[in-house]
Amino acid sequence: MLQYAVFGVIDGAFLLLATLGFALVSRVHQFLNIAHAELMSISALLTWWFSGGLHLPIWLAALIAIIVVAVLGLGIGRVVYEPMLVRGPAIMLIVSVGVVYLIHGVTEGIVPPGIKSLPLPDLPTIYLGSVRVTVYQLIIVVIAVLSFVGLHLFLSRTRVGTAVRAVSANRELARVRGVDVERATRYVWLIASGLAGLAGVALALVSTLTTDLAFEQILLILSVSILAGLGSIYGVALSAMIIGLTMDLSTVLVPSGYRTAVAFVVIIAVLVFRPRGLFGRKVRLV
Amino acid sequence: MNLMQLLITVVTLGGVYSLLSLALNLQLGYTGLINFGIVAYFAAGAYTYVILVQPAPGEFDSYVFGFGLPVWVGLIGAGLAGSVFALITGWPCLRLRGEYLALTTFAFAEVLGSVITNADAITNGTLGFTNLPQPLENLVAPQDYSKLLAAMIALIVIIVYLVIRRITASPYGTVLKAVRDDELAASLAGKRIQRLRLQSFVAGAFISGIAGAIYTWYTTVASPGLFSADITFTVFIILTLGGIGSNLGALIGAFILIGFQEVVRGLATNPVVAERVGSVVVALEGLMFLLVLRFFPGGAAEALTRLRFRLTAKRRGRSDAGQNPDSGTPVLAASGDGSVG
Repeated sequence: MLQYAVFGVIDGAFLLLATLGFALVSRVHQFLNIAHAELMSISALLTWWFSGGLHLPIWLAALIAIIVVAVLGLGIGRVVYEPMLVRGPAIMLIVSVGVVYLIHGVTEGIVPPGIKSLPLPDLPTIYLGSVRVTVYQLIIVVIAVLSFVGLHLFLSRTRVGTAVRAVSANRELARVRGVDVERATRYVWLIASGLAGLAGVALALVSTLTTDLAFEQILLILSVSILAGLGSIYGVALSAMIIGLTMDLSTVLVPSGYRTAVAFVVIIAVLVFRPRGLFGRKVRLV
Repeated sequence: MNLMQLLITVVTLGGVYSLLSLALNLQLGYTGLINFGIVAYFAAGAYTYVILVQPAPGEFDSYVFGFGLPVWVGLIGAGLAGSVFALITGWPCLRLRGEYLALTTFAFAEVLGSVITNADAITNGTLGFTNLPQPLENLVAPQDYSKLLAAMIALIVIIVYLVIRRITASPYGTVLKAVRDDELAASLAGKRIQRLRLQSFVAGAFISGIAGAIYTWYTTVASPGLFSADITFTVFIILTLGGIGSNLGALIGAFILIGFQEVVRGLATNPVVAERVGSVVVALEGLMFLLVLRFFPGGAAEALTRLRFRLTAKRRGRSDAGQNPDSGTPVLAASGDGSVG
């Protein structure tokens, strides 16, 4: 039981990492970027290729992969998403499905089939009483916490962060008041995509890679951010833990095949009572 | 590749998809409901049909129910199953706006997907049902059956298209559009918004359920792998290509996309190429989809309208043939209003 709770926390930490960038985009640009998880899979596959194929050290491989994905995310944001923002969130959601298809088709066309995993050294498993965790799982928890704190400091303590908050609150007003919207959104795309890249690396640390891994992740990312309430960044931390714990503790009671279904049932139940999620902002009528 | 064969596949598979895109058009195009769980109603219809029509289980089968009922009962049952599932899911979902609705329908589809995969007693689990009987299969020689199937599906599509066109052209269709464009105004005019949204949602699900039943005629298999979220996304691509808000567009889009897929697959005769073709098709679809959304939001339906406008203008001998008609399809201008600000 305790073991499942620990797994739940670890999964929660990973979900937090995976959802942060997604929540940032949905807060600032007010749409759901389904393609976020595709960036994760690109970064995971790039890390695999740099370290396994080009024999770079693993940290360098991960670093390059994250930078590539951050820049790619900025490019997609500028070229594909931003010109269409005026068409409203419904169309933007559909647009991001198009991006998913494009990225998925390209990665699947390039990446050789078969099971891929990072060439990682075997690190010892740590036992705390009856509970065991691997070093890699601990690394994920640490990365997730650092990213969360980092994003918080960026948004609250830096000038660009303040600009980002201004843009997310009211883009036009921010522009009129002299906020450099271009610069703020550039940071948003870079940070959000970089976080997706980081999450991809984290995923590659603990699991084998397929080109389909993005899709499994986006479902959970979506549920975490709905539970938190779209646009809420701080709520993501709590929701990620709730979903992570629910999924792993539910395996005690129901077959593990229903693991994700349980997460969704929780979401649906929450939405019935709080249609805007746990921390959702009140709708602004335009 | 045989041209006749290509045509038959496009009519058959394109027919199934055009039923789904007609259903989505009723929900999204006319009422502004973003149903991201289309595949759920499709799968509910398919499995209900199979369970109703399937003979009782033999001693080696792990499923429990099989009623051996006639095909038409199965068809109606499939539509009803879609509707009932839509009622159950619509109750919590339809109060939600925009993306929240999209995501809860998406979530319901995934829940149903894992139930289908795991509830062996009802659905035969990951194996699913195989060797399903095809309706009227004793009527013609086996090699000619695909033609009969295509004809039957074409007939069903035409009937559904005419019914939907009748509904959407009626005053009721106008009310639905009012709900989509301005909910407040519609409710002030005395229209019961929640009820209209639910009706449109359930009606769309009925058609999706029937499409699911018909799909099993084509595949002769019902297994969880067939009913992935890819189906939902494909229907969205189809409707965008055809033009959101146009029934004719929903039909055209389905035949264009399925035709495109089949032609590309047919061209890839070389096995090394064929291995990669699937992903190339996916990438191209994504690209095509993005380009249409960005530069031609009205889709094929708007292209048709413009063409017709030009032709009639030419006939009248006017000189303003090049000007844009203002009859373009409305592209969900209002559906974003209620979402997170």
